[in-house]
Amino acid sequence: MNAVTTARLTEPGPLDLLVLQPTPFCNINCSYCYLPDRRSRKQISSEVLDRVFDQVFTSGLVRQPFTVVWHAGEPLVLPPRFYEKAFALLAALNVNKVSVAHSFQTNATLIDDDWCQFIRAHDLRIGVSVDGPAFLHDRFRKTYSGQGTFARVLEGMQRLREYKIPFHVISVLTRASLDYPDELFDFYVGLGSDRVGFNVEEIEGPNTTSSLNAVDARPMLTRFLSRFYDLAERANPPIHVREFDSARAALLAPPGVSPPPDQQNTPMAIVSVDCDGNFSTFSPELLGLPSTHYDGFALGNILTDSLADAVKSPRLMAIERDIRAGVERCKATCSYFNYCGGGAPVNKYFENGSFDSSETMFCRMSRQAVVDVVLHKLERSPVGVQ
Amino acid sequence: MALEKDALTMAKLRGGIRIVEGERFAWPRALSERLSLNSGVCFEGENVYPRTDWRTPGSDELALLTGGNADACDQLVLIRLSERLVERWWELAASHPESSVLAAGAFDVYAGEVMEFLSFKQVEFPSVCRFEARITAPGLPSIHQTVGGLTALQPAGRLVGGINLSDEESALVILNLTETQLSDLVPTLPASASLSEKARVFLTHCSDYPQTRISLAPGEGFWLPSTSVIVDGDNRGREQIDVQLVIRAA
Repeated sequence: MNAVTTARLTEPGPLDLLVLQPTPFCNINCSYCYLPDRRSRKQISSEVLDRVFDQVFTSGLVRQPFTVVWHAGEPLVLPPRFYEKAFALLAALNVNKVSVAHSFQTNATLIDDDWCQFIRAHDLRIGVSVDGPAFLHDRFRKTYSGQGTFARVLEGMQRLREYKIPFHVISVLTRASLDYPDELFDFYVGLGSDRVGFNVEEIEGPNTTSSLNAVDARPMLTRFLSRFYDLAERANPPIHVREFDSARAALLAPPGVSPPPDQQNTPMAIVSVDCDGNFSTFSPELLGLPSTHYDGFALGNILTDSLADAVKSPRLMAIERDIRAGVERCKATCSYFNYCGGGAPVNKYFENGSFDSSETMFCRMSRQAVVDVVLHKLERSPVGVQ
Repeated sequence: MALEKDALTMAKLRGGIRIVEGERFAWPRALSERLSLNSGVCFEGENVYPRTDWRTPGSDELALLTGGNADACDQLVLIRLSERLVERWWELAASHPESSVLAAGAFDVYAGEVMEFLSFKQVEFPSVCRFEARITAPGLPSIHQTVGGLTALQPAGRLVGGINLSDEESALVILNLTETQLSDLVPTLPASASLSEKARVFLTHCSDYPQTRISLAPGEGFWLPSTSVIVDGDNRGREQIDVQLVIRAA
C-alpha cells in the first residue's frame, strides 16, 4: 500500500448519522425513486443489528450524540415490535449512555393508532415524504398499480396530528412543482407542519434523468424559491424551510469562518448499513448503487468485517481521496464553496462520472439557487436579519 | 338591417373567443364540465338576457370554444386564487363587520397580495389597474340589469378580469364572438359603433345565437382577452349575494 492510500486525508467521524435499512421494501412505487430493490421483502436480522450497534459503540466513531435514521425502504412496513426489539438491543450495547435519537422517514401511508402510540412512547422523530397537494403528489408517488397515494398519506398525517405528534415534511421538487409555491405553502399550513425540506429531483442510480435537468429549470426554481421564501417569512407562525435556514446560517457566518464540513464528504460521519449488513459511508444513497470504478461502494459486511478496519481499507481511502479532490476542486472553482462545503458525492459520481469533479445539477438547484435567493432577500431586508 | 348571412345559420355556434385554463393553476375539474351553451337571448325592454335553457356543449362545440391555437389576444383565460387568498378575503370581511366596505388600507393590501400571486402565475396586468369588490344580489339574470344586461355599455375602465370571492358557484356569460367578427357580421353599422351597439344589433337579428356560460367555483376567476368582449354575470340559481373581485385597467 503506498503512501497516498495510507495517509489519512480527513479524520473519520465523529458519527452523526447511522442510516439503517430495516428492509428495502417499499409499499409504494415513486417514479423518481433511486432504490433498485424496493420490491424485495428482505428484512434486517437481529444478528446484523447486534453487530452494527456493537461495532458502532466500540469503533471510536461515537464521540457525540448521534441519530439513527431508519430509511432506504419504507420503515413502517415492519411492525412496531420489530423496532421495540431493535431499540432495546441498541440500549443494551450503549454502555456509555450516549444520547441516541431515532428518526423515521416515512411515506405515512401505514401510520395507524399502534404506530402513533409507539412513536409517542419512544419520542421518535418523524419525517413525512409528501410532495404537496394531490395534483402534485400523485403525479409521481403512486402505488404499484399506478394509483395516487395522496389520500392515504393525508390519513396518516391526520393520525399523527390527532396524537399531537410533531413531524416535518420533505417534498421532492420536480419541474411540475415550480409553478405552485402558493399551493404548496397552503398545503403545509393546512397540515400544521412548520418544518419543511425541499429535495430536488436528483439524478442518481436508476433515476438517470431529472425534470430539472434543463436550461430553464434554474430560473424557474429561483422564482419558486423566492416566492416561497416570501410566503414562509410572512406566515404566522412562520414556516421553517431547511434549505433557507442552512443558507441563511452560512451567509451570516462571521467572515473568515470556514463552512462546516459536509457530513457527506466526511468519512464515517454518516454510516449506512443495508438489511444484509453491507455498510458504506459518505452519501447514504451510494450503498445500494453500482460502481465499476470502485467495485461497489460497500466497505464490507458487518457480519464479517469491522468498521474499525473499514476506516483503513484501500477502498475507503480511494473513495475518500477522490471525494477530497472533488471538494478541493469546488473550493478552487466555485464561488458558492463557502456556503456549501463541497457538494454531494453521490451527485458528482452519477452526474459527472467521478467524485473528483465539481459542479452538478444538484449543486445548481439545491445549493446555488437557494443561496442566491436567500442572499437577495437578506440584502433587501437587512432589518429582518436576526 | 342586413346581416352578413341568413339569421337561421347564426343559431349555430362559431369559433371566436377561446376559453382556456390558465397554465400555472391547478384545476380540480375539467374545462368541459364548467361550460354550457343555451339557445340565445331574450329581450325585456331594452335589456338583453341569456335564455335559461343551458345545456352541455357537444364535442364539436367544445372544440370551437376551447380548442385550436387561437391568437392569445382572443383567449379568455381562467384563473384560480390560492385557498389562502380566498380565506384571507373572508377574514378581512369579518374583521370589518360594521362596514359594508373594507377599510381602504386593508383592501389595498389584499389587492396587492392578489396581484403578487397572479403575477407569479404570469398573468399580465395592465400598467395601471384598479381593483374593486363588486357585490350583487342573487337571482338576477345580469349584473348590468338596469343598464342593458348582456349588451350594457361597459364602464370607462376596461374590465380585465374578475374572481369569484363568494362561497357559492358563480357564472360568467359571454358572447364568444370577437369585435372583428361582430363588425363583419353587422357591416351596416359604422366602424365607430361601440361593441355594445354591434352586439345589440347582432343579437336583435340573431337572438338564437348560443351564449356561453362559464361556471366559476369559489376562488376561480377569468382574465379577459386584450380585445373587447361582451360579458356579463348571471346570478340566477344563486342563494347568496355574489361577491366578485373585479380588476379594471385604470
